[in-house]
Amino acid sequence: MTKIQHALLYVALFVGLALAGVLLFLFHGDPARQLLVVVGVSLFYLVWGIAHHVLEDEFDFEVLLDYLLIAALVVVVYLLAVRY
Amino acid sequence: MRRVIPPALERQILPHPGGRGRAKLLHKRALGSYLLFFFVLFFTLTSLDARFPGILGFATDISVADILTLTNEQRAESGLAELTLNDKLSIAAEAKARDMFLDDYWAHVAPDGTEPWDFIDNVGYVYLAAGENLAKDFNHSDAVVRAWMDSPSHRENLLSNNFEEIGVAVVDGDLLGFETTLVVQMFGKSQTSYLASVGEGSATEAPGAVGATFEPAEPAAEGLGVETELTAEGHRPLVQTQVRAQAAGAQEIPGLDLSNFALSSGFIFVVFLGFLFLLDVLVVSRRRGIRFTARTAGHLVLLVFLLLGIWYSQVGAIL
Repeated sequence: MTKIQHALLYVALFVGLALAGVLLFLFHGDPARQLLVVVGVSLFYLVWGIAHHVLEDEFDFEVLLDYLLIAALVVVVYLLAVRY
Repeated sequence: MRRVIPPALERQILPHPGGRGRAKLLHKRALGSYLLFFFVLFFTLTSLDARFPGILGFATDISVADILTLTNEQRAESGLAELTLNDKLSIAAEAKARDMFLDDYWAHVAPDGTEPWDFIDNVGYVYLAAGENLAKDFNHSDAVVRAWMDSPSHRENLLSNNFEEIGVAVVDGDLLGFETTLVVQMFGKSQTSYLASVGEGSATEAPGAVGATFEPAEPAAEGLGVETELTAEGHRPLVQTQVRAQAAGAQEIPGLDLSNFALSSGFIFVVFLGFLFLLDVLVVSRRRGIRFTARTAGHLVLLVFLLLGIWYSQVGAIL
């Protein structure tokens, strides 16, 4: 993968997270929708990670598991922190 | 160079050759353990909260007295007369809060079309002017009043010369699937005080004794306020509300403040994990022989987003 492709992938990650941030702002006061945004971000990150490693030709089960664990942790910790 | 970190601890928190270089506390087994721990914690707290609501619970530092005092302090600073706490308006405010919990909505107008003025009508408070401010997800009274003062429409209600009395309710409950504290302010200027001030007799608020019909104006979107005009002789229906005047639930202090505990655990964990990933990035960039994994930086970015998301979810909302 070229440096430009690499940079573009990170730009995509930042744009995705920035959009999610805007949605969190728009859904202020609506915790259910905010939770959906966080779930969406986790899924987006999972797809982003897989795409990243496929393009770098280093995708394997270990990589998938790593992204799955982080994405799941984000959702569970957010849920715990805001549920009460 | 002198070694400052014991080798055993170093392997836990710093990246090393092998295992793709990550610290042991960031290995998949460790991440899986964290996930399991938070799953168990979440379901344990949920079931304990359901079984022992008096022991584990939701607590905020918001009280009716503080909201009233802070509101009047703001009015005093603007050279306005203090608002008097009115029992009827307080019952109306509490009825509004309980209605929002019951019908699961966050709005001035209920899904069935019930308007704030209906709650005021139901307690027999006959008004010449009325207003409503709402807040939720705050932990302290001063933050609630500050947020209202920062919003032009809510500030207008707080500092309106048209109001002489206020009702305040602070009620805990489950709204839209999440535990929160609702704060409702109902402002009013009663017809009784108006008539007394213009010397038009001694009208009372007893049912059937009201001699005026009021036509509420179209309410604004936020920080609802309405002024009414005396248009004709007539009778306004006065029905005493069935809502019980209970002490605000937010002032019942549970044995363990679940909201703070859950929030703190989540926050501390994210900072801890983020710190480990940051160490990983910093150390790997300095050392040779350890493979840099691009996903570490990605994870770090995601954790920063999570931290900001948790923080923002704690910022209270007003309406």
